[in-house]
Amino acid sequence: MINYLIVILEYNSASFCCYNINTNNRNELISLKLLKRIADFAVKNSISINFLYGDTILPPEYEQIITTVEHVKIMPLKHNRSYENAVFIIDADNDLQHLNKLENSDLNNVILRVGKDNLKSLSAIVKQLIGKFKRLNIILQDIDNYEKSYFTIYESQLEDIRVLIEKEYQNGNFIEINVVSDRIFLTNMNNCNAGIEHLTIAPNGKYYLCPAFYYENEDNNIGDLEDKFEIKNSQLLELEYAPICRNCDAYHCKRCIYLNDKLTSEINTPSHQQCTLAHLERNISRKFLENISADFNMKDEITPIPEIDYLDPFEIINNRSLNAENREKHFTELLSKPLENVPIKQLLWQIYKINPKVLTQLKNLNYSAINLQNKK
Amino acid sequence: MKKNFAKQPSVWQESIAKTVTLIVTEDCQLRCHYCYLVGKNSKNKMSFDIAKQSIDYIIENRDLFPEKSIIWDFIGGEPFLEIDLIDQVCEYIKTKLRAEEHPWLDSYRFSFTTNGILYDNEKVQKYINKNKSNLSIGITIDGTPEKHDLHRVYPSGKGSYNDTAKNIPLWLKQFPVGNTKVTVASADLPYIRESVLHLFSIDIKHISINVVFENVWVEGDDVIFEKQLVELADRIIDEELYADHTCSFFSETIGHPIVDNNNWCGAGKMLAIDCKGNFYPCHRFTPFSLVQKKAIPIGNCFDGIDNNKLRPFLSLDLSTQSSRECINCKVATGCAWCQGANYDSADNNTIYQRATYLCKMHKARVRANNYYWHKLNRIITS
Repeated sequence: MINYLIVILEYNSASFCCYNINTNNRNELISLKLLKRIADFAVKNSISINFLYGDTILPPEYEQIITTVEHVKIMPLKHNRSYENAVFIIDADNDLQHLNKLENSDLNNVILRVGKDNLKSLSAIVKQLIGKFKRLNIILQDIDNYEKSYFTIYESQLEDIRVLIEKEYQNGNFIEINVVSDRIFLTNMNNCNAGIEHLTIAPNGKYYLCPAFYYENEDNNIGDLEDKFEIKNSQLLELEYAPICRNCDAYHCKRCIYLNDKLTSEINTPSHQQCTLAHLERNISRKFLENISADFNMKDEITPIPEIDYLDPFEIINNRSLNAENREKHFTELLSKPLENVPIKQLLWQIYKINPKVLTQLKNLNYSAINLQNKK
Repeated sequence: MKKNFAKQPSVWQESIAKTVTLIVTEDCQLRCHYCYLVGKNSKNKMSFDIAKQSIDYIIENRDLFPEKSIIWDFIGGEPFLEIDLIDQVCEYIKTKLRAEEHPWLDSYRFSFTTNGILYDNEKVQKYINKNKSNLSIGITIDGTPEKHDLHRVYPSGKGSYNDTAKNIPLWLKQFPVGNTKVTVASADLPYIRESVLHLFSIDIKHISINVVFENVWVEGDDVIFEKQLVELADRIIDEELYADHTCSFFSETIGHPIVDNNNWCGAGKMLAIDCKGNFYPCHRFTPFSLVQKKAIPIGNCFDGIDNNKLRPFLSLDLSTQSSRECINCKVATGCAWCQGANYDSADNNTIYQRATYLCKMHKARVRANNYYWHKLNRIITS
């Protein structure tokens, strides 16, 4: 079910994810008429909007329409107008000199995009940013060109970031850095879900699966705001239809369908790069969880993230010495069992939210830990 | 009545060997109506340099090709149009395997599927005699002259039956368990019974036969198909042909519910190489085999295999590409699909959408197959 729209306000809106924008001096601002239609559509369908800003300071009538809907503003850090509660994008290749624009705050939500040339400086940049955010989303660019040496650099940078974040936790500053901390809070897949939870509308009024597909080729559109959108073979967006991902517990992985399409030609199939990076992050999260459990004397209460013997699940799926049954067994034995990690109170609350009657029925059941009926 | 029935000859090192398909030419003397090679031309032929580059890559990268055996499969178009190149390539393969002390030297085959027209050509015969112990050749003959010439025609429209059939005795003399591959489309359904019996009568004992995967079937085809197969079943059993002949339409393994989640098709496990040295997961993904879609190359002989492009093929399973109806079908086993045909007819650019044009035809086959085994088993066990 679509919960929110991403609306690209101008062609040169800042990229907030792994895709790049062709800077071709194109200066196409969404029309006021289209913006009004989108806002009206969002209100009537009870969905929120993430507005992607570029460098342009929008005319007041645009801002007026934006305020009429539930929304989040996502904008480049160097944008000349300051907005409260905006999500700021820092492009490590271009914006490091603007970091002082970001005030010290434990509220900020920041996106840090890092190209492969700056990968070796990643932890140093994060260190500079500590104190300026509540949540930091690190987005790696160029991963289609990642080779083994980049995985090694990333692993060592993640290790340094883990040390940084652990220190903050010890000081009571419970910040979030997606690639280290997200996995420890998750009990099920929590991916980008483009095409399932959100769609993108570009300045041309067309629907796209996500902004990356628009910038890749405008002909990738899946419909028009005037009509309905249509995603052909949309089941392939679902986890059940992703043979590599459905046997995986790197729950925080983006499962980026754009990169899947670009690198493997199938939206349901992740590349070696995507799987390896997600598992390096999973392994660091595992260490992070283990350490903070000890720091906070919570080892008995927290289910650890299991240790696994691969970085790319495809290695197991494609292992010729394992038959289908043994492959399944390998995953079943090693991976997290989703419900094990859910506190019982939370589980009951979730059941209540789905159907309150189920809880009533459960309460009315007579059961005991030991059945002595046969002993009588 | 005879109490034993023959079994299909096993394929050499089936599911153990790596199959590398070399598309040595995109040309063919024929223009068969049902042929999936829609872009036949006389321009694209493989050069020795491209073949050598490809062979070097495959033989030198043992970690990427760990299979214990290899089948070098030569196809076209018509492969024997390029017999000089094939001879040169095969000699090079043997030399290279020897130089590399590769285990495949003791476990390789050269394989051909041919229209048979050039089979008695002097150069082809010289090649066969030189490589006979490591060779498998299948000649495609579709059945009676009437059925064969319905589709297997020259560009002029003239049928090719006589030019193929004249070489069958020589072929069977050299390869006594010769297996032919027969393809059936809508128009030739009424000829199935007589065609299979005709092929048996010219001493071809094992017939691999299938209906085309594409969307060619019309209302009522399944009825004709079932009737033909039931009549064929009666003739095979009544004339006791089952004792030493097989026809793949009848198999004990078809018509049951699915018990595993495996992909039917082997695309991606094999490697096809076109005339320019581009690699494909199977020859059905080459540009000249696709009508609606762009080709899916997975690398080339210069840069090697792009493993990311192979991942969708090697992780593909039954449940991710099939409808609920297909997964739960009570007669699902033996219902075949071709990944290339699926891709070509899919609603978008995906290999994960199974075409089901064959559904009614498969069910008709299952009914006839049940009839065949019911009748045969009663005879064998009586």
